[in-house]
Amino acid sequence: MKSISPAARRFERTILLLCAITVLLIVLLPLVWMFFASFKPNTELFERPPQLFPKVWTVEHYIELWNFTSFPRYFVNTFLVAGIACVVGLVVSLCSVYAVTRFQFIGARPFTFGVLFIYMLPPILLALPFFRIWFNLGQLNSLPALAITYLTITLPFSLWILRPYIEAIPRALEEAAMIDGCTRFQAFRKVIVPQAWPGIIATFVFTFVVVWNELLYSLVLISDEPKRTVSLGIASLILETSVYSWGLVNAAGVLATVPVLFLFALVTRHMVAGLGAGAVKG
Amino acid sequence: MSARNLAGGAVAAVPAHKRNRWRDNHDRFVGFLLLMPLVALILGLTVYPISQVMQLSTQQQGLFSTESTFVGLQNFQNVVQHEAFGRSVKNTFTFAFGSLSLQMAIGLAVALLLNRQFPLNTPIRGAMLFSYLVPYVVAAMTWKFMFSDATGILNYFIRWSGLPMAASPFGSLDWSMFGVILVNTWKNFPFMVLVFLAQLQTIDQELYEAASVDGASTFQQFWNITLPSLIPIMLVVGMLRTIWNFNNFEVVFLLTQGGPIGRTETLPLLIYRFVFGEFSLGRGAALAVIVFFILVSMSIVYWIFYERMQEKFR
Repeated sequence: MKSISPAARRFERTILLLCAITVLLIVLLPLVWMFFASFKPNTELFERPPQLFPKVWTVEHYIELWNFTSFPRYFVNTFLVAGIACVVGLVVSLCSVYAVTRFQFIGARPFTFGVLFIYMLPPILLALPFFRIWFNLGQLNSLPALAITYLTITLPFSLWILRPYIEAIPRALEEAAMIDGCTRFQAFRKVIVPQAWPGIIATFVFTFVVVWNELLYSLVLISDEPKRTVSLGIASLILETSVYSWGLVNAAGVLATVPVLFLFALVTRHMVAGLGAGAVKG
Repeated sequence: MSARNLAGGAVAAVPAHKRNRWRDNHDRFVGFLLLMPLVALILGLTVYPISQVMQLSTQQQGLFSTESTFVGLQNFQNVVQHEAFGRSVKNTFTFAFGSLSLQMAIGLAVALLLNRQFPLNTPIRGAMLFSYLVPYVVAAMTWKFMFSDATGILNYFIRWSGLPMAASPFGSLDWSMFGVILVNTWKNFPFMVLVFLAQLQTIDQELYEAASVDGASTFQQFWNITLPSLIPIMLVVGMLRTIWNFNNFEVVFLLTQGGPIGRTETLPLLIYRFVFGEFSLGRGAALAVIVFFILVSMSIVYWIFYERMQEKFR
């Protein structure tokens, strides 16, 4: 292997690059197809054979989505619900990860493993009693109730992504701060939070994406049309009608994907670490 | 790993010479307070709902009614004897393990490819994750679109090329299961790529150099160096993925809703049908409890693996 000439190596790398691009194109084809389809006029959508690129570009589906559907509302709903669930989940996990890594508690290990176990519960198992609980409290169709329900997702994820970040902060740092007269809370705010900031951002983005993508809880808990989330809005377009307005659905799909990819691009490096964290680092 | 460091860390938090009882107790109290919200939320948001499901499973209860009657294990008997039960168990395992093997195989192949050095490697790795990041509704929508009779490119391609496959698999008796497995694989294989890549990067390159000096072929190197170092992580991730595939509701619900005639109805969908289609909360809860116990046993196996792997690779 060591005797490979530079030319042969360059050739090998080009071949590898071509392979990788081919694989990538196959993987991305459905998304690329969706993207271009959302800019096609209706007549072109039903063209045989289907073409990838629109002949005439149009934004009519986006205008229709904005003017004649409740999707703008759905986006606001989802941002609110996901935002609340993520921030609350993040704050609670930050406190408890700090507590678990800094103090010794009996049962901390089984407890944290128990939280990991929530990962493995089928969402439908929790959706069912939540339906009943919110029904009894008269809180079906309530976005705050949905946000609280989403804590079952954001809490375990936040805990397991944050943990390695907090653990990695040397205890000497906060001890020094406390010797200099900080209270424990001040030390927490001025030492731990800034040190763990990349982890906090990664956790927020990751849980936000997961909640943004979630369907089942909103399907079960929300039935009022104006209170739907984006996922539920698209799901009802796919499920309710047999003749689809494909342009509209594709446009909605593109818009639902944009925030996710945008957030991902923003924090790529942390995301990649975060995505695997729950499974591997645990 | 982390929990074992914990014991040492907590002692180091307060150096011995500074330790006095008041400070110690005060500190522990603060720690306790910090932990409380989590404990309360976990109890309220998982333990309580699960106990509710258990309780509901012994009741005869309509979805929107407030009255319920205790029926003991009647619901369980009804569920197990239901004509859809056996079929759903079979479908669930087909779906879970079918998806798992495809995800593993494709994930491994792609990870091996991306582990090589070539230009643009990093952006390609990032873009490879896109399908994992998009919402399930988007994944389902775009695949449905591509397979749709009037508009779909894949539908058109299958008809044009005469592939021995249904042109719209989600409505076909024989191909619907393949269809949902395909979409689930597309959606989730990047997770495998991610995990495998992370593991591949920990392999010592000198091993390969030594092996090639000794004249080992590429395949032998893969078989004797790469694969053994991947197996532990494969077991763990495989278990996790099995459980997640097992629990998956969205893919099948959005693509086929369990049809045609129950060919893709998995256990989560059957629960959903009992509760929101037939309005029988009791039966849905009973099936949920059964699924819960299947998963608990699977999780115990996962935990054992997890612990063993930790011992081995500390």
